[in-house]
Amino acid sequence: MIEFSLADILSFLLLATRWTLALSAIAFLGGGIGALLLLLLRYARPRVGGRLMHLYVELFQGTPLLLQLFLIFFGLPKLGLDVSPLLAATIALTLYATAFLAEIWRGCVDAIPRGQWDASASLGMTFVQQMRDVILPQALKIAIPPTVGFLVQLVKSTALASIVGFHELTKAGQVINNATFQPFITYSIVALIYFAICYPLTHWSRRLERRLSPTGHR
Amino acid sequence: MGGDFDLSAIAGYLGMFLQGAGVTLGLTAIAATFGLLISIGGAATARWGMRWARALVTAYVELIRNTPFLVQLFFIFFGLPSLGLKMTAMTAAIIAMTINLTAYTIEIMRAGIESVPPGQREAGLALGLHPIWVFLSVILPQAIANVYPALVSQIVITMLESAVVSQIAVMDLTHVADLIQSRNYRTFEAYFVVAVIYLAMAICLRRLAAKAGTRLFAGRAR
Amino acid sequence: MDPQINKSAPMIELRNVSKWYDSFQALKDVSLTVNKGERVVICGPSGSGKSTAIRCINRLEQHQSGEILVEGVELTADFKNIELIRREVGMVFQQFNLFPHLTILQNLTLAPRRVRKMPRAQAEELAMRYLTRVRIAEQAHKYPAQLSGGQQQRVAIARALCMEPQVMLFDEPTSALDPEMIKEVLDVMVELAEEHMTMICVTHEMGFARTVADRVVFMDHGQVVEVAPPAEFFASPKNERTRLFLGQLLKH
Repeated sequence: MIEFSLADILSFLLLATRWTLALSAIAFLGGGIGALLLLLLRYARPRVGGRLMHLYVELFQGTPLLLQLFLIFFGLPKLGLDVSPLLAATIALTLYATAFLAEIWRGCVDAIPRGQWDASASLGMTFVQQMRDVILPQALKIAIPPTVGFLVQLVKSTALASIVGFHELTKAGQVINNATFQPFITYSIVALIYFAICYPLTHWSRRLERRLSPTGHR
Repeated sequence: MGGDFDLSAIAGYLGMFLQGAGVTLGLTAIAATFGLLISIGGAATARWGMRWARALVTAYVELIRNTPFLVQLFFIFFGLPSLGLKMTAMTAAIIAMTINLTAYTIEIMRAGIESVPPGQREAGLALGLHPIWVFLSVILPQAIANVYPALVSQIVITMLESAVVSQIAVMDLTHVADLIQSRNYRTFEAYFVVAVIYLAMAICLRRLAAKAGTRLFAGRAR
Repeated sequence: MDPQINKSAPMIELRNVSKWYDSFQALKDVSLTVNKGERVVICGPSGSGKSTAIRCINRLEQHQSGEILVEGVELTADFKNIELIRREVGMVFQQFNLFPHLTILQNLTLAPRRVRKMPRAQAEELAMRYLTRVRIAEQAHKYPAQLSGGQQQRVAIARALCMEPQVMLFDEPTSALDPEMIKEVLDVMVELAEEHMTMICVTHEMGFARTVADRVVFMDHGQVVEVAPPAEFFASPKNERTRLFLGQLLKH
């Protein structure tokens, strides 16, 4: 039997952490683009776009991410598309992130007082100008803290990719555990690595939020 | 389309789906009950507790909120028994769900407590009420009313996240789909039906809670 | 209460009370004695420490030096002691502070039931009696948000009275009210004064001070500047700061 030192375990887990980070980054980018497209549709064509976005968000926030992942992983092959665990996880997390980011950003745009739209419209601005020069600069500022907060949620969500067999941090933990039979140590380290990624983001998000609040504290 | 989509292959398993849904709802109800009770104490500690107790609550909240639920579940189910703490999968699921939910509801509850104006506490004290009664009958009801929607959505989130307890073989709704697809190889259909059931449960839970909320907190809008 | 206490015994005594918020001194050596049945009005500019002074009496604020005695009992940090004193001292706040999640009736019965362990029926009967007194009995089953400010403040007075306190503290009870509602609250307070309730009122209602107060106290910068019966206080204030303050009040 091969003996594993703590350093072996740690380096194995850290190598897999790269995939957790990569998956988070791709899904965050993809989700951001998806959310922008949804929002564009919503504000440009409020009737159709609004309803579509509502439906989309309801669907993805009303079902478990695990099942979204399963449906893509097992559903796409039914359509004749072969998907690797990585591709399935990327698609699922991107669609999931799209729903949350769209919802967060919509809240931020809607938080801009009606008067800002009225004032910019009365100055003769077009919709695109209103968005670009008046609404978005204000919305963006309040959007950053919850967006960073969602990033934490997304990093944690990538753990589900292990269930379809993608070799990220949690999967690596399972592999190591099967080899070492030291679940307490292994999952403690796995948890700590996630914590080391997520906590700074949480902290940052909170600081940004505090800086925004008019009273200066929460 | 390359594959066929045949729900009739699933229809015979209705009883199993209902049973799985019952387990998922039951787990959620237990976690929600314990979670809310504990978070009342946790939030009060975070607000008024001794320095070390506050630090303890903060550490707990941060640790749980910054790690994945799946890893927490594995840690409890696989990690703790190696220290001699053996438990069934069901117990592990309940503990993991409660611990996870509580970390979020403590923060929500704390925000609720902070949203009650200080004059309320002063008025209660000025009437000679014991501080514990001031908390229980003056501050807490208002705090809960103020954050009720957030509490409800957190419970719904917990229900949806609980799908991963199927990974330690708890017979929840998702696990039912695992079982069915292993029998008839209708993998996609099984997961599809289960996803629809989750969606229905989430929507119903939100609606019911909203209705209950308007009745519970009627007439007191400020 | 104790039948031995005679009519002119001090109900409340502040002896050289001082209080600081960090480095800011909110009360400087405040001394004041209020006898049983006496009605005292405290006035002064904002930030003069008048609210802080009465909030120290039921220990919503803690003084750092000096002594406060209620019915001869000194206020200490001991919890039981504070609770006992709070039962005897009622308070009415500027912002009413009614409990929004409870009906008017429940607002009134909460403390009698919890603190005095009164049975529900008895507490409700008591509550209805006081609600009738403040002429608001028909609103008993509504929630505070459904009442006007003046009505809410009358409910707040009734709520404090339900504990049958020996002393009533009023902390600017009419300052948050629309002008047309001030009178209905003052009327209730005047009635209470006529029944010889011991009262300490922080208020800018000088008409009220003139009609019901036995003594008027003027505070400024955390100090008691002048204490006098109303006739003397308004006709010939001795201190320059008092004159300035009254002059400014009259201009409005």
